[in-house]
Amino acid sequence: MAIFRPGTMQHIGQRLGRVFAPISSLRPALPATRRRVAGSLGTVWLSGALLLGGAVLGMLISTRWQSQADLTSSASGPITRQSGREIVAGTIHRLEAEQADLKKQISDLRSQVDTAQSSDAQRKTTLQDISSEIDHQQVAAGMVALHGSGVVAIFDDSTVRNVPENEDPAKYILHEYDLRDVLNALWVSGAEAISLNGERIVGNTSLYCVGTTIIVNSTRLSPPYEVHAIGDPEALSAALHGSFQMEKFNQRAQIYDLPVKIEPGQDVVVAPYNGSFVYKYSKVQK
Amino acid sequence: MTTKRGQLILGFLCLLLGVMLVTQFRSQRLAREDVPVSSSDQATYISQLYDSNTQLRQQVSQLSQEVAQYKQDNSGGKSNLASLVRDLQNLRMANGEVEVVGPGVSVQVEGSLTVFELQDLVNELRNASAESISVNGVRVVTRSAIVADEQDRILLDRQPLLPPYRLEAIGAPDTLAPALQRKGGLIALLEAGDSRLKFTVVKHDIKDEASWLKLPKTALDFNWTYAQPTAQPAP
Repeated sequence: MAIFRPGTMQHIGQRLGRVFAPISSLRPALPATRRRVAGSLGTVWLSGALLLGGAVLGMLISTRWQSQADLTSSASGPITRQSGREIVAGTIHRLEAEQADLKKQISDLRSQVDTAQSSDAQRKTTLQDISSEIDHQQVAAGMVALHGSGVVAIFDDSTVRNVPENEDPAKYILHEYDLRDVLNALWVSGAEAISLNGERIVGNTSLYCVGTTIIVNSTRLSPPYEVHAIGDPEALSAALHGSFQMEKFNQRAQIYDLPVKIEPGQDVVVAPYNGSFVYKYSKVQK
Repeated sequence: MTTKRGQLILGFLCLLLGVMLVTQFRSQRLAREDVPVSSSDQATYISQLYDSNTQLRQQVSQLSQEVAQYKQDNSGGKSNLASLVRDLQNLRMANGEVEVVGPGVSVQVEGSLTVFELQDLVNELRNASAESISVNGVRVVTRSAIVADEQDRILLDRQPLLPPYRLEAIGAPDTLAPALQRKGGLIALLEAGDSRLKFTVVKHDIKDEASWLKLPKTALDFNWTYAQPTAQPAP
């Protein structure tokens, strides 16, 4: 903005002074002849021509001066007003572009956060559903201690100390198959959960006889055998006392003095299964 | 001479006017650019831009962190979810609530079994680490009862089972088959006790997927009327 600069006029004046000299030396030769023909009209023409010439010259001068100023600023010289102004404009443009870019980034990130939030909420709902289903299945699988009305039954080997010579000693002791009969009788009578000497009966529990002990859930148990079952106390007691499944055992118990104690109860506790369910070969059918 | 001087002054003024016009025009053109004109305005605007960009950058980094956190939660959550789903499937298999497939053994029985013999066979399979068992297409689960009714028919889950009996067990074929067929084992004892009984044990090999067993889910409904979980001690 050359016009606002202090010293500009001085500057222009100096430059004008330099270019004016040759013009004034040329001038008298040309209009002298014209004046004789055109008279005062020639003065108007001259003024117009001078104005035009002045404008053209002024343009040339200022353009030249302008490019000189550019040259000085670009060539390590002191930063002139003009080049400073360009730097400022550049800075403003750069900052504005940066702002636009940042705003775009923010809007992108906001939509990413929105998406993440909704999928997170969905995942949490799924997790909640699954863990409540797991809780339910764990109860069914026997992994949770339960209590409720039911029956506590205790079975033991015969109280007879000396087995008569002509009798089979096996008839005086409690066998694992006797206990299997007990379990089957209880299940068929609506037992909801059963434990034997603190070992929960689960899907893969087997009752196996090794010597004088019975192995349940890989744990050796020995008599007396205490069965805890949760269910309808009357139905469970009746099943143990008089069901078809227990008939043979009950007869033997009576003949060979195998102690049996059956007690219905309002708060029978059944222990949880402490083993694990490992499924290496079974796969869920899809 | 005075006219010449006047003309000279006029010429000079015209020239000056021309220069001024052009200069003015140029400066006006510069002033039309979209940046503030005065240096104090420029300074204010730049500092505003600078401040706002700093804030925007902070917001970008904060949002980026948030997104990263969600991504991390999500991947952690997914592995957590995967392990929960695995646990759930295991429990469903344990409860017989899903159909299962896998290698194992099948036992075909010719002849008639007593209820005790069938109980013993199922017990033997469980003891040999069978994972899932069915008898004549009925899945054996925790509450399954193998009992006999007054007519001495075998009932599994209150459904009558009729010969021929076929037991299927998913598990390690090389563990299950020898456990059943060993000398002095259950099948040997049963066959020795009754000459009309004949057992055929078939391995369904791990590698032969086409031969794998497929066991149905249980028809039993696990109702809970009497049992309640015992109060857990407060953590």
